[in-house]
Amino acid sequence: MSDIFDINATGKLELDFYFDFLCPFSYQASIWIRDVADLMGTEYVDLRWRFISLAQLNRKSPDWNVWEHKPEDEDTYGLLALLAGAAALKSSGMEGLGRFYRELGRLHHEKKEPLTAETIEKAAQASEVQVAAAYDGSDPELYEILKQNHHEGVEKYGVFGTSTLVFEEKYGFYLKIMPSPPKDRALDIFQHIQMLAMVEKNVFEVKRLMTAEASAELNETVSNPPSTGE
Amino acid sequence: MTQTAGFMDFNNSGKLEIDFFFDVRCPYAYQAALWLQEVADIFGADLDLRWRFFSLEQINRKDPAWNIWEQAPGADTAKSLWSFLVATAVKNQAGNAALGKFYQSLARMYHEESKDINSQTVLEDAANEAGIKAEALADVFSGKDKSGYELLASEHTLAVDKYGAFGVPTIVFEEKYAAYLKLMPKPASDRALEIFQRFLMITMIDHDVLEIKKPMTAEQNQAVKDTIKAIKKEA
Repeated sequence: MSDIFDINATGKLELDFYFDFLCPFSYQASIWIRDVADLMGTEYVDLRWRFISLAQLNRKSPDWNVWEHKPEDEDTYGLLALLAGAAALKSSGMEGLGRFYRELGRLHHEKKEPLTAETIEKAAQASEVQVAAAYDGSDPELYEILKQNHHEGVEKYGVFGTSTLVFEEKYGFYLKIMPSPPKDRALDIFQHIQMLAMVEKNVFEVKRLMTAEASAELNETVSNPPSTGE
Repeated sequence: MTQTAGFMDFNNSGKLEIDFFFDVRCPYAYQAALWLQEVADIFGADLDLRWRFFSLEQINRKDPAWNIWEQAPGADTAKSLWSFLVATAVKNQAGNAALGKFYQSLARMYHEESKDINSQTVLEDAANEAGIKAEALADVFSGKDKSGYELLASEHTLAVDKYGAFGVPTIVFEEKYAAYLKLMPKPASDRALEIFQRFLMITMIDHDVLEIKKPMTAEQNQAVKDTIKAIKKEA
């Protein structure tokens, strides 16, 4: 990574990936951005998983906050998984959260398992992280992590949906990717997006047009995304 | 083809075809047009930039029985209709390149000079810049030449039915790969090709990328509004 891109002068490219576990587009983008980070290497890239609650983004009342509710309350879709993610982060760090997201994403989006405690526990075991505090309510800090991540995404960057990728704690881009691109296209796509995000300040949006046929095909891919194995 | 690799020449025409769908009243389409014209000038004969009609007044109407091409030009609900009718006459008489010139002139008058695009004089001035004399437009203004209604209907319908267009600018590569692009303002000339190549690759090659959109803080939104305002020259 050349120095001109190292805007915050850390010697690395910081990537904040804002997601909600339940979003199928986030999951596909997460597979891609993980490929990118693997290809570029940890000495160059610091990929950080950040929470955004779609239930909060879509809330009906300005006084209603998902982090003031229990996961079993109405309209809190995705909350239990987000709290479990926060627990994974707390117990096993960013790397642990990344492992947990991969497992939970695969179970939920590829194997169609609901985001229940049972599925979350399965993902936690497979990724070797501790998430029990998410259901027993013993750790209020998990709510705080969610609230802080969500606030930062919305207030600092203007995040309006998932996934949103932020470069160098400064330049955000909402991404809609489906399915995750083949590995040999991963870096090329990343570089296009990085240049448009960080350098080309005049470009605000690129949106592929969809015919009815293309939309139907997309819905089919969303329902049956390619398997990542295991 | 010299500039564009042969494998991207999907329709085997030996050129890169780009259809640019515009409505003269859209500020984003105007900035993108200025950018794409620069790109086309750099590519030269290898790129065929074709100017196409798309009506925002039509797409924003939810009533399927209402058609802008059945309205009276200049009406409150058909503010861009005169521009399409005159544009058609320019195209019929002098071809696609003149149409591009007319569109860019009229858009400049509208977006930069705050001129009334339903004024016959303004429309004639823009046509004049594209090499068409006022006399040659007499049949359009008298209502005798109705070819513009038909062209607008067919191009708008093509954009919606074939590509799924929902706004402008819509840019179609090789009559196949289409994307909406939001640019403001026109990029610096030395960035024009770079942006074009990234946009082309995402649209033509990387089909898994459906949408990328900059999230905007309140300050960033204000900055865009200020840019649009600054494009308008002081009267």
